[in-house]
Amino acid sequence: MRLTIACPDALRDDANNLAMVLGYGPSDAETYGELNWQDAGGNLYACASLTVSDTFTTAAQSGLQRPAWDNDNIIDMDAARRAQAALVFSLTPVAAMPDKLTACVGDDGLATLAAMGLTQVEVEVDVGV
Amino acid sequence: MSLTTALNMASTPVFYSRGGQGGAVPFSIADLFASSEQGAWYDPSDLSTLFQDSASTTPVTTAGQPVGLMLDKSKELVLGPELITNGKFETNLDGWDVIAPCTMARVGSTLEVSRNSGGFSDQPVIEIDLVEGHSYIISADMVSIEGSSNTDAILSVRGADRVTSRSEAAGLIRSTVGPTRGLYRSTVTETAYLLAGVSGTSFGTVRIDNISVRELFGNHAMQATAARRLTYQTGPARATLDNVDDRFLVTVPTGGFTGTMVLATDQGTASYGVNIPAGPYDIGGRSGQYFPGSSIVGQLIRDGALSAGDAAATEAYFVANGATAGYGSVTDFSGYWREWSEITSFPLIDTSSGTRFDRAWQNCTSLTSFPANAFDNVSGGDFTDAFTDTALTQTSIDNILVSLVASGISAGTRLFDQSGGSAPSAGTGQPAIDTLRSRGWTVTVTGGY
Repeated sequence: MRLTIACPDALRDDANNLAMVLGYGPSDAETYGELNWQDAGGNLYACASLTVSDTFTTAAQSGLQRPAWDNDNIIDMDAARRAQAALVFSLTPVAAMPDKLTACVGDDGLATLAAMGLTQVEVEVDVGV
Repeated sequence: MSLTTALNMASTPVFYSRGGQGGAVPFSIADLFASSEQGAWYDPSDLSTLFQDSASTTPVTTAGQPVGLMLDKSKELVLGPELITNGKFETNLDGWDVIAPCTMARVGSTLEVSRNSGGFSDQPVIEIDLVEGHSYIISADMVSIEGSSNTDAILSVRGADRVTSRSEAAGLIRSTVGPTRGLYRSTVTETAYLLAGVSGTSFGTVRIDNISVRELFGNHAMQATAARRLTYQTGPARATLDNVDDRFLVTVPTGGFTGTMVLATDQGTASYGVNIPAGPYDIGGRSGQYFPGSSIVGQLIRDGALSAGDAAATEAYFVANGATAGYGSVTDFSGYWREWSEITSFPLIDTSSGTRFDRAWQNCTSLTSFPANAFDNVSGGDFTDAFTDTALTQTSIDNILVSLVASGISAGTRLFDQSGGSAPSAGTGQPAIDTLRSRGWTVTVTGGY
């Protein structure tokens, strides 16, 4: 299933630490990048959309453990747990919240973001990294 | 052995033909790079070039899987010389260095590493010379792994200080014996280290053999961030984008690419003049967002312009793989090529179904050349910010304005914006603007006419 996630600016660092715990390596710290989406109130969000396994949502809501690849203790586990505490899962689109990490199921990422009340912000985009 | 053989990549096929004097000339995309031309050729129809992760440890086998690595076929997936001076341990451990209390020994022509205390980077390392942006296949045989239940064997790239991790992901971690292989792209040019030993979160003793590092030539497109990976789909075979954050990254080598890009998507196929500077470059949408379609069926970039015949034959190859030939079915071109600052010249495509072109070429800051007759048959007149921040020549902006006149659009949204580049000419462009305004258009152009 496809999961589309809206991350407010204040939670970006924490959410990227959570993404590393649930992901595969240090590059997952770039999951939430540019703040190029906004809600009706003008709150900015970094958004991600990805296909996940059925077990992903369970893992994301279970106790977090430092992954085996983190030989150098890159992950801030406290930050990851803060992001987990702010996580809201929904099988249908719900409005993005400026103090929550809102994750909604939907086949089309762009349509899900629209249903979450988010519109694209006119910003210069990065070419490459 | 070349990786071509290892990956069972199909031999370079012959497709289609260039039109030539005296009849058709056999055409192969590989020929476009036969004289060591720089560039890239991505072909999602060839499953041997797709991997779920950027380290190439898990191949893509079926629809719905993520694509973290799309290999460049322009160099035919050839491997370079061996960089590990002593990876088979046939007579000694020369070249390898270990720091106590970790130990190493040659046991039965393997490297035995014991780590029951000490730092991760104290384990055996050997020097390797790496070049920024180049990709390397790292491989070994994990012969034995002993310790606790969570003891893993690992190969990891370390920086010149031996301590700094350079591995993009985990390095190559294996909990079971057997061959292991992964792709690593260097982020710096340096004499680095390859570390072989026990993974950092566990202790124990491992034996490793046949350690190898060889460059995999080409400009491979990868995405190490899991959420930004594309998705493989079939019918046709393609790498699909979510237009939220999906994109590959490739490191364009020194000198950049100045030539032609053929981009084949589910919505259209076209050949562009491009100037791509050295450094990181998006394959897919700009920041995952602006892209002329929603999937890559094929993409070719060559340093050095393609002839019209070669470009057409390349397009035909991608169309045969399932790409849509023209853009004739697209109604909404909003933001399609926005921010594509590498495009220098735009081809003549079918825009006849298009009703919206707002921001379609916005911030294409290198776009100078635009063909005549591009909008003769469009179905709508929303060109809001379509050409703001471009570098159009006078001939190009004249071409565009004259074509809009030819479209005959005199109802509905009628907006046109240009900034940057040249002003329309007094003899051709300005009269066209007069005609458009007489039909209710609001026209803003460079020079303020």
